[in-house]
Amino acid sequence: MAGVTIGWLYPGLMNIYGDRGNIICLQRRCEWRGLEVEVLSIGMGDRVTPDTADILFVGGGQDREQRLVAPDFRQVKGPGTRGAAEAGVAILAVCGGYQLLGHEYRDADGTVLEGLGVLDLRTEPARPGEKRIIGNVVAEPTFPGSEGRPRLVGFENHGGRTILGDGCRPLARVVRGGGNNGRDGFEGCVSGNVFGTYLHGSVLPKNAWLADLLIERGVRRRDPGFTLEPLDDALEVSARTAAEHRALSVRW
Amino acid sequence: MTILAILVGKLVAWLCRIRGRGGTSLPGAVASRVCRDLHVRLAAQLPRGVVLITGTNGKTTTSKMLAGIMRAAGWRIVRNVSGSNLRQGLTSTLVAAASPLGRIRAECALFEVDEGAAPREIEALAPRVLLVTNLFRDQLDRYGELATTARRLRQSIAAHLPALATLVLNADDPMVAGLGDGFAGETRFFGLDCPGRAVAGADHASDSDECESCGHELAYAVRYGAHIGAWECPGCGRRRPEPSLAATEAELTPQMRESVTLSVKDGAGEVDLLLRLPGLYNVANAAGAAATAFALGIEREAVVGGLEGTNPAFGRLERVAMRDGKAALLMLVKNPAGLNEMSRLIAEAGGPRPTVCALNDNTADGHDVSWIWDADFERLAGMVGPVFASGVRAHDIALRLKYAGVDEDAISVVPDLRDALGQALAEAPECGWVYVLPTYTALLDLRAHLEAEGLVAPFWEELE
Repeated sequence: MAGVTIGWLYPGLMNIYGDRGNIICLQRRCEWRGLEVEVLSIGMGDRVTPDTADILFVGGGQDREQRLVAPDFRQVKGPGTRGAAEAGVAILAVCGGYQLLGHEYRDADGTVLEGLGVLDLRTEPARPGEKRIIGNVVAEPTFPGSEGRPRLVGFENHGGRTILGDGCRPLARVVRGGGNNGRDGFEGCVSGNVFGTYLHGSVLPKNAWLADLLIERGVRRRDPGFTLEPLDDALEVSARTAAEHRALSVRW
Repeated sequence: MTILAILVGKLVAWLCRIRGRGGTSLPGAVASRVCRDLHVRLAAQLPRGVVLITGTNGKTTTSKMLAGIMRAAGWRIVRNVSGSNLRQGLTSTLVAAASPLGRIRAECALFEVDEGAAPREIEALAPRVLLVTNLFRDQLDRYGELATTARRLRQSIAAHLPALATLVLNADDPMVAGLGDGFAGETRFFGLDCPGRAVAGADHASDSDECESCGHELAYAVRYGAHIGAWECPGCGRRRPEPSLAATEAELTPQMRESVTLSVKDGAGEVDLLLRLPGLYNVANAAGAAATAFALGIEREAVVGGLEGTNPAFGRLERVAMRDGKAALLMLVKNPAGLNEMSRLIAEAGGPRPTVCALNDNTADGHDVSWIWDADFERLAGMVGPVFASGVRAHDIALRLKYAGVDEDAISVVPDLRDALGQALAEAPECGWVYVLPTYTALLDLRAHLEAEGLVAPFWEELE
């Protein structure tokens, strides 16, 4: 099977700040290499299995939407998503979706949303005196397999503070921005092929190497020899560089 | 204190002018330091009261339409200019309209107010009519979340909008239609009934595809773009209210005008008119302006005259003639919904033309440029000629266009706005024109260049 399947969780409810751009990016980068690609919309009530897709994506949402999807995510999709993670399916979760992959998310009103526990992390509201974390991010990737890769760029906008446990490692070290919690200098989280991040932007188009890494790792689960041909990424590279310069030169 | 504040405000305004700056908010900001509730005191003198227009898109155009109607009805009004829609801007406007002794030489104030600032101004100014155009995702990094914006508006309306006031709401926007829940006074709805102009399926700027009350996905019998249309919740039965004023016909003419029929329940009957502003969203703006005018007791002749006389507002489909006979069509784009409207118009107009897409990320634009990935640039693929990506985030917009399917060879990254416009115009045939889609501060920069060349008037002189 040469095709690539992308499962998009809650495309209607969890799609904020351009997270759809990640799907566009994954899809186009497959198409440009002549690979067949299918995007499945996985909404409320739909189940997930380890064979549903090569890549699963879940974006961010507003608090209201996060509350709406949390029970469905954990109860209906939880077992299948955990199975997919164990089987090596590539998973990318951004912002609200990232928070829900952890053990629990406590929001500013004190509401506790139980997460899937796929990632060993928890998210708390800001402490008194701490502000919402908003702004451009530049972060040095630190996870295994990211050696020699350029810095990640994106835009973060979150109130919750995410603290990683021992069972996962950070995606990157923050050069500019707040990252997971504004305190420990880490951004995002990696465990196996599961990636969580606060980066919008959308994150993948300007960090195209990460998009390719997700595609390769997801497909290798069923086709160990799978590799992607390189693309002409001149525009992606210059956009990443320009965004890094912008982030390092402005302070709002 | 009032008089001192006014004099200080006028002095600052004068200084702004001699320094060649617009001065649309600084005078008000300084004058408010001297007298905190200056704008409330000044507004209290207005015999016909205050009309507020808020919402994400269409405020400026709707305000301009309504101003035309009011003038056609013989009203003497003051209104704030585009962009200065926070308290300082409202105060500056009133200071400019006041005599040094604090007398206002107008009967009515017409203010467009930023949707984040509106709850506070509803409380302060106790408007006679409040019009809400729509609520779209716009600069969320500045205001927090859309649901919060709606909730704060609804609470302010229930608590502070006077019971004798009229609330005018867009029936087609599920987020807006419920804003009157809890309001004791009269609510009037306006909307579109033009199924011929519907779009197939949803585009991706939809912000409220789920029912606010129960979370069920909304169903649409007709959809005009984003979440605007004839909506209904299969879960709890909440549905689009029946509008008392609806646009029942809208046809884009080859001269880029809209031929419109408004159907008004009880009273005016059917009203036919020709808008100089193309696009279905402008038809909705006209419906909102007309509904507001009728709520104010204005006669039908003035409504027609005012709407037909309205020219595009600052940067909103504003055609700028160049010296060589070519022209640029300035199409301000602030968010996904706005971009989708513009790309739809470009697609409806047909014929690829050179295009400038200029993206800035300054505070007035919103610092987060992620929104470009929510906008359907895909619709532009094949419809535009050579594209010049420009502005502070030129590379981001170039990348978006590439992933939207625009031929990469047709995309040039030209961060300098003047260069980008020059190159686009050079690509246009003799007497041809180009599209320019700038974000807010990119539009201001571009206008400043055009102004220096004497091609447009400074925007603070554009007060009709």
